[in-house]
Amino acid sequence: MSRGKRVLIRLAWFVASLLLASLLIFAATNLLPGDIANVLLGTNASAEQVEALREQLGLNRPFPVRYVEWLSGVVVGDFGTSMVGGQPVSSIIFSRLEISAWLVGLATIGSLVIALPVGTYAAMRRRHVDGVAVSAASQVGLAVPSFWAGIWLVVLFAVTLRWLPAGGYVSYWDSFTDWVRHLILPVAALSIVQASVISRYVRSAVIDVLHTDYFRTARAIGWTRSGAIWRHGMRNISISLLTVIGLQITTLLVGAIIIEQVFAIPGLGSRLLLAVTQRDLAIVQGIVLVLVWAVLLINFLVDVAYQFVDPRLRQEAT
Amino acid sequence: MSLLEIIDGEVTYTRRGEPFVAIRDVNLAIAPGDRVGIVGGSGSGKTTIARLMLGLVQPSAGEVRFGGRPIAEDLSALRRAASLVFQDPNSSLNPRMRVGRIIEEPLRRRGTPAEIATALEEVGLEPGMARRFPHQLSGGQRQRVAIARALIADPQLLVADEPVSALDVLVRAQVLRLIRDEADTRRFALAMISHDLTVVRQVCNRVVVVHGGAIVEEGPVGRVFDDPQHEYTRRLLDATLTL
Repeated sequence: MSRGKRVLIRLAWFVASLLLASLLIFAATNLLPGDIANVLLGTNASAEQVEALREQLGLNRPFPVRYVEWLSGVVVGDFGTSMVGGQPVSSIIFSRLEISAWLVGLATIGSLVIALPVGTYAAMRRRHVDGVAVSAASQVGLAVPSFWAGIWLVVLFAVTLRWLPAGGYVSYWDSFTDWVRHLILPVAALSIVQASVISRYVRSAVIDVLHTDYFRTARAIGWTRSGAIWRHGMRNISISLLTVIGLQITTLLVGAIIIEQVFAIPGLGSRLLLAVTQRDLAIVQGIVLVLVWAVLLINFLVDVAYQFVDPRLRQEAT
Repeated sequence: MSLLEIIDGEVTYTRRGEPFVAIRDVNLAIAPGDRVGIVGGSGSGKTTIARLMLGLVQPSAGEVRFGGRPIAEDLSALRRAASLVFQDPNSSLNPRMRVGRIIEEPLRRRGTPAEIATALEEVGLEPGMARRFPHQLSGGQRQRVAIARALIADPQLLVADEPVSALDVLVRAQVLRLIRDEADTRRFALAMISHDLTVVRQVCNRVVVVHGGAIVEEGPVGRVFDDPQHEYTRRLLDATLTL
């Protein structure tokens, strides 16, 4: 099968996954206990008032009708209006999506910057005390929740040393320096934990390379250990990295939701938690949908990237 | 003068926490242009001898000399002058590299298209194959690529570790002929590791028989094959003839 066909099949699965995810999210949020009409009107409202509001919000119409209407709006960027505040959900989502995207994107880059050298070092020195120590440290990192790492970073760098702010967010349009200063600790909290996971994969991929005949050949014909790793290891690691980034993106998004709370960052995660407490289904649905679609999109892109990174999948070149 | 010498070579590995002597008291000298076959059964220590020659394992006793100097003093001189071909081309070629990039590896710089084309043509491959990946070649073509890589930097010593045992019979004959012709033309010293005596007979002029980590017999191919002195050599020859 040609690469183009394989990409098309994956695209079809991706679109089907998007539709299925949207259906599940819509169903789940509509089956949640608690009636938005009751919440909006308070406990003193009469049954007639509640019924009237349900009618007004369209909650009495059949489920499939509401789903199709919601989905056709979503496709053109209309996620409905907030049931509590009345603002368009899309403006709420997009104003905060950028902040969360910076957080997750920078944390991904940060974790790779840490994990690549750490994992490679741990593999190359795996029979030495320092290599074992690095490996053990990354194992400990796996067990640390990002919010706990975040709290300790705040205690050390914000409270004790007073080098960085403990929380909040400043747009880079207002002050680039402050934007960077406000992001350092939350990005570090997410990166440290992610780097622990990714460095394990990097270590394992490098050890695989160290045992190959092509690595031995490179060594025997004069390449230094690090030179041979750079030449052969990085190509192999790229496949492992793609896999692990695809797998870890969900963890990273969940971590970002919690980290936004710890550092009082006005991102999608903190808005989602507020919407849940307010029973604002339109916002909950919208944000969860964006997060799930983001995960599906990244996994789709990883899948397509495999076709280009691994030459054994490039049948067309034969 | 010998190009490469192993003097009282011993290599000890650790196996499940216990020391294990893989080879002991190995004395072997290879002169420029020599074609030495190192034969023995599985676990006899022949591959360890090959690795010792290339400085890929450290001797626990004795020493290895290249050009008269201990390789411990100047390993890079050996690495610049030696090359190797492994048994399985599937694992000795990086599946994510194009053939051209694989072949230029010993040069430690980007090979020119002309250099790559010449290297490919010398082993009987089309220059256009430089753009292919290993999985797009047959087993015999892959081993030819491995040989082209081994020869591009004009080595003084080529170590071939079971270079044809992963290939089918017809391809095996072609690859052996290629190695023998290249050794004749370029006059490099060849150390060919094999469990198959017929392979050694076709290519080498001298044979070393290894058993239990020690050299039990050594001599010109004709003499060892026609008049084996050691019981183990006779058994190896009988096994070959029976087959």
